[in-house]
Amino acid sequence: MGVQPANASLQHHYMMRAVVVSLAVVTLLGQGRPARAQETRDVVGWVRTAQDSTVLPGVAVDVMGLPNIVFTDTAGFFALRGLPARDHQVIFRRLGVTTDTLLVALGTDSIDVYLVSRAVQLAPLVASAESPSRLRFEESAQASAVTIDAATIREMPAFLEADVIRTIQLLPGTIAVNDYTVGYNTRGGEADQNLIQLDGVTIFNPSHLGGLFSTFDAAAVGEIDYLTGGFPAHYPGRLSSVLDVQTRPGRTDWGVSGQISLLSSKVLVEGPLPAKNSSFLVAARRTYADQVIQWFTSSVLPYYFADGVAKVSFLLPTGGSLSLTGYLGKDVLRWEFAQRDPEVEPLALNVDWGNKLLGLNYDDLVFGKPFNVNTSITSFSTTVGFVPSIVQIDNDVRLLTAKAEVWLSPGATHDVRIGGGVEDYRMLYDFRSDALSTVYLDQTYQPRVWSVFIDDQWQPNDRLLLRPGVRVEAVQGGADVTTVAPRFAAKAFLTDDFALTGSVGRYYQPIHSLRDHNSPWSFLDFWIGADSATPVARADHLVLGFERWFSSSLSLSVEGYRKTFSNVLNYNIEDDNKVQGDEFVIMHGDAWGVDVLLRKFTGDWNGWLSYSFGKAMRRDPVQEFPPAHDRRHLLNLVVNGPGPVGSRMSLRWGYGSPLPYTEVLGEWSHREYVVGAHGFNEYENEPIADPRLNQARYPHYSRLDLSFRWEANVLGGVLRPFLQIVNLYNRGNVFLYVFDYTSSPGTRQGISQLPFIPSIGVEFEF
Amino acid sequence: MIRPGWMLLAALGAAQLGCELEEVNVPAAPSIVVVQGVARSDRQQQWVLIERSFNGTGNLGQPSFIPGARPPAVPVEGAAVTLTNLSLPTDRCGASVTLLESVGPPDRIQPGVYWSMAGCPTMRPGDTLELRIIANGDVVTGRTVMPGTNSIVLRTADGTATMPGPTLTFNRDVDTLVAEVDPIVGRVMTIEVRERVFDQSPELVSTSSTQFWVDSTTLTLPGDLQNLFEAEFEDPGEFVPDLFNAGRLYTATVAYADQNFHDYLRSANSPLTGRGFISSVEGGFGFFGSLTAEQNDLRVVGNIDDAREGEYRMTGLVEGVNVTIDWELYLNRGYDSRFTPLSSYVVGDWVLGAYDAWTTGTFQGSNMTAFLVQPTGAVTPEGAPELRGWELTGPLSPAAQTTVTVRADTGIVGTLSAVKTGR
Repeated sequence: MGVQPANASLQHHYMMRAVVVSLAVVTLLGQGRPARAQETRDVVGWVRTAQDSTVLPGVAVDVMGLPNIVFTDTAGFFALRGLPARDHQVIFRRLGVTTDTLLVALGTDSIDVYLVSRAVQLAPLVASAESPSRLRFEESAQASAVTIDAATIREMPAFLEADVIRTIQLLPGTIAVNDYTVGYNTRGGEADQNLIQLDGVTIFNPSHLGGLFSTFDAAAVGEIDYLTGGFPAHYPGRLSSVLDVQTRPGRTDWGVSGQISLLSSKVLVEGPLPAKNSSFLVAARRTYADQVIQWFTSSVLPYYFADGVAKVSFLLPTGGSLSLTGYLGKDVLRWEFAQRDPEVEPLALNVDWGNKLLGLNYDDLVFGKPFNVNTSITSFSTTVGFVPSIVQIDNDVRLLTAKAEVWLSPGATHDVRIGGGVEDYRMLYDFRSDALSTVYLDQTYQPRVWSVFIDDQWQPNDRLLLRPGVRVEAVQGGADVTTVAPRFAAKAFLTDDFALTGSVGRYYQPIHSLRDHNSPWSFLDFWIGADSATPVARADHLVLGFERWFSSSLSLSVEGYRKTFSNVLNYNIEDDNKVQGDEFVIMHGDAWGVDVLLRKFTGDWNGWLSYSFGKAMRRDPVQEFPPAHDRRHLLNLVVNGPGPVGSRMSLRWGYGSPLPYTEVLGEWSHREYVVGAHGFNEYENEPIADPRLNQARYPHYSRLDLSFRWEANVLGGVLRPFLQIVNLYNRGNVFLYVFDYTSSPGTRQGISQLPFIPSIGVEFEF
Repeated sequence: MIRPGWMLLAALGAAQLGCELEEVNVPAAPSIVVVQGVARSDRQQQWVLIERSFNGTGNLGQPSFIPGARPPAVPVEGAAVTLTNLSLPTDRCGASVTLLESVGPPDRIQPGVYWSMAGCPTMRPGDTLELRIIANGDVVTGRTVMPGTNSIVLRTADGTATMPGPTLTFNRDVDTLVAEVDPIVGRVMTIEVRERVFDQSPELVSTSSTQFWVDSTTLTLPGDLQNLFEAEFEDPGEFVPDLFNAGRLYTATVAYADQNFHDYLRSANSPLTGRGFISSVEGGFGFFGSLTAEQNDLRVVGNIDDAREGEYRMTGLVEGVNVTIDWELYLNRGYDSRFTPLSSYVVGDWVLGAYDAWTTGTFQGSNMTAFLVQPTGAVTPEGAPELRGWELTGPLSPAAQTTVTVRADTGIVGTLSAVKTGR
C-alpha cells in the first residue's frame, strides 16, 4: 500500500470531473470497536465495486480537512488511524470509479464501501474509465511501466488460451526470440534478468510445455504491472525487468467461471468465507490431450500439465488485512515401456517439473503508519529420470523470503518507503545413478541476501516528482559481498498531460540461470546462486523520455535507454561436474534503444501500437557478439474492437527484424568408440557451429493473430464462445535452420514457428 | 461489422507472405580436419582416424566399423602424422613416432586410419602424448595424459578377479557386478558388456556391446538392469531388454581413461546450436584421448523359478554322429508374449566335434526351439569363421523323457532323446 502526495491541481481537476453518484452502501457495524483514546478514533474498512463486489485496490481514502490519506491495499482494505474523535467526511476516489464522499459518524469504526465504476455513468460511446496508467502518470515518478488489466489479457488473441506472458511480449522493449518460448528479453537483457512475481512471490520458471504456455491462469489474474527499467528500490535482485502479477481477490458473492478449449479445461470458484469480510478464490486447470487420445486411439501421449492458484483474504480484528496466495503447477511426462513380467517394474522415462509457492501478506497500521509484512516460500523442482533407479537428475530451487515495509510520511510531500528483508535461496543439483552407484553431479548453492532499502517519492512542487532511493544488499553464502544500488527517477510536468521522464539506477542480481543464452530454445532455466566462484551480476540503467496524454484514454510514451551489464553468465559447455565454479562463462555487455508506446485504453476501439529499436552486444573472454535477442526493430499492433456477427474482436500483428543466429559450418560424424573392439562403430552426424557467435541473421518475423468472442446470457450465467486464429496468413517464420552438408551441394531448411492454427473454446461464468 | 482498419492490417500482413522454410542450397563450407583417436597402453599398435567434415562437397558414406570395414566418408589421406611422448624425450621409439596408413594389420588398413609401429611410442601412466597432424596445410594437434591403474578388479558373489582373471559366475537375479579401479592417473571409468560368442575376436562381435561410464573409480551393474540403450524412444510401450540374460556368456571390458576421453563421452553438438562437443584438438575438431583396459568373462546364470528351466541331457544320432550335449537352460524376458525366450549353456560332443558354447531359442508352452551353431574350421571370403547351424525342436519335460528333432539346411538330420537331469 503506497501513499502518494496529492497534486493539488490534479486533485481538484478530478474532483470536479467526477460524477458523484453514490451507490455506496455503508454497513454500520454496531459492534465496531470503541475509540482507542478519548481524543482519537480509528476507521477501517473495505472498498468494493458495487457491480460485483470485487475488492478495489488503490483507492485513495481521504479525510476531508485533515492530512490523513491512505490507499486501499490489494485486498481493498484501508485503515485510518488516529483521527480526531468526531464525525468525518471521508472521500473515496480512484480513477475508473465514481468518487464518493461518506459521512462516518462517531461510533462507526468499520465500514464497507461500494463504489460504482465510472464507465457505468457515461454513455457507451464515451465510456472511458480512466486507467491506472493515468494515475501512475500523475502521481508516480516511475517511468518504464505498463499496467495491463485482466480483461485485456483475456481478450488478446492467443494460442489456445489467454496468456499473461504472451501479452507482455507485445509491449515495447520486450523480445520473444520465437513462438515457442514464454521467456522474454527486456531491453537487451537475458531472460533470467526478469523478476516474475505472483502476489509478490517469485516464480522461477513460469512456463508449461517447454515454454509454450505460462503458469499464470489469466482468469485468476487481476492486474499486471510490467516495469522495463528504472524500477524502484523495493524490488529485489534482477537486472532488467519486473513483472508483477496480482491475483485478483475472490468475490464476496459466489461465482463459478471457467473455460473449455481444445487444450485444456479450467474452472474458477470464488466466494465468501465464514469470517466477516473475507473471501476466497480457487482456480485450476489441466490439459487433457493425453486422456482424449487414450479414449479414441491406441496411441499414448504421456504428457499433461496442471496447475492451480488459490487466494484467501481476511479482515483481522485489529482492522488489518491478511491474504494468503498459493500456487501449485506440475508438468508431467511419463513414458512407460512395456513389461510382460508383472514382477519386473516397468522402465519409464519420468520427467516432471513445476512451481510451488505460498505467500502470506499482512497489511496494517503501526503507530499510524501503513505497514506491510510479506513472507513466502517458493520452489521449483525438476526431475528427469529413468526409473527404476537407472539415472535421475534432480534440481530443486527454493526461496524463503521475509520482508517488511513501512511508509513513513503519508500525506506529506515526501512519501518515504523503507523496508528490508531476507531472501534465503537453496539450489540443489543432483545427478546420480543408483544402479551404477555413482553420483555425477552434486552441487548446492545457498546464497542468502539481506536487504534494506529506502525509497522516497518527493514532490517539491506541482510540476515535479523526484524519486531517490537506494537498495543495499548483503549477499552471504560464499559471495560475501555488499552491494549498494542507488536509484533515482524524476518526472517533470510541462503541462497537466505532458511530462518528461527519466531514471537512472544500478541493479544487482545474485542468482543466474544456467542456460545457453544463444540457443533458440531452452527447456527450463537451471538456477545457480552467487558464491565464492559465482559473481553477482550488475547492470546500470539510464532512461530518458516523455509521456503525453492526448485525452483521458490515449497516451504516448517515448523512452530512450542505455544499459550496461557486468558479470552476466552464460552456460559453459565445458563445465566439469566435479568442479564448482566453472559452470559459466562470464559476459559483459551493453544495450541501448528507444521504446515507443501509443496506447488507447478504453472505448469501442482500443489497444496499442508499440515500436522498439534496440541494439545489444555481449563480450565474453573470446569475442564480442550480438546476443540471440538482438532485434533491431520490433513493431506490435494490438487492436480490440467490434467484430463481425456481433462479436468482440481482437487483433494482434507483429513484426520483428531479423534475429541473430550462429552459422553451421559443416557436419562431422561423431563416432561411438567401442572399448572392447578398439574401434568406432555407430555414429551421429552432428552440426559444427561457427565459433564466431551470432554472425548470421534469420529472416524477418511477422504474424497476425485474430480472436472473436461472443457473449450470450444462458441460465442466469454468461457463455462466451470464442474463435482464435494464430498466424492467420500462415507465415513461415523461421524457428531455426537445419543444415545438411552430407549432400552435394549442402542444403539448409527452416523449421517453422507456430503455423496457422485455429482454435475454439467457450468461457462460462455464473 | 468489419472495419476497414483491420482489413488494411490484414492486407499488410498478407504482404509479408512468403516462405523462408524451403530447402535451399548453401555454399560449400570450410573443410575442417576431424580427428578421433584413442591411445591405448594395453594395445600394441596405436591408430587415429583422420577425416574431414562434411561441407557440402561430397556424399555421405555408409556406416562402417572403423578400422576394418568400409572407409570413412571423407578420409584424409597422405597426412603427416606423428605421436610424441613429451614426458619421455629419450623414448626408445625415437623423439617422435610417425603414424602411417600402411602399417596396420592387413585386414584393417583403410584410408584415413594412421597406424604406429608396434610398441611405439612408449606410454607410461602420467606421460603426456602429443598428436600432430599436417594435412594439406592444416595443422592439428592434441595432447593426452596417459591414464594408468595399479589394478582393475571385477567382483561378483562368486568371487573377485583381478582383471584379466578367470571367468566369474554372476547370478543376474540376485547379484550385482562391481568393478573397481585402483588408479594411478586418469579421470573416467567405463565398463562395456558384450555377449561372447565362441572364441571370436571382440572386434567381430562389437556391435552388441553396451557401455556405461562414471567419473569415479567404482561402478556397479545390478544383474537385473534393463538395457536402456536398446530401447527405442519413438513409441511408448517399446520393450526394453535386460542387460544380462541368464544362460549366456559375457565379456566385461573395464577401462580407465583420461580427461579428453571423459569429455568425449559426455558431450555432443546440439542439433539446435551446433555447439556442445568439447573438442580436445587444436586447429581442427574432434578428440584425442587415451585409456587402458582389461577384460574378463562372466558366466551369467539365474534363479531357477520355472519348471522348464534347469539341466537337460540330450543324446542321439545326428548326421550319423553320436552326440551328447548337456544343457543348462534359463528363461529370459522377451518382447513377444507368444514366445518365451531361452538361453542355455551347451556342453558336449556335437556333429563337428567338442561343443562348449551357449545358445538361444524360445518356448511355446513346453515346446522348445533352439539353435546350435558350430564353426566348421573354415574361413569365409570376408575372413570370418564359417559356421554351420542346426535347429532343435520338440517338447521338454521336467518329469519324462522327450524327443527333440534336429533339422539342418537339408531337412531333418536326426533326433535326440532329452531328459531333465537337474534343477
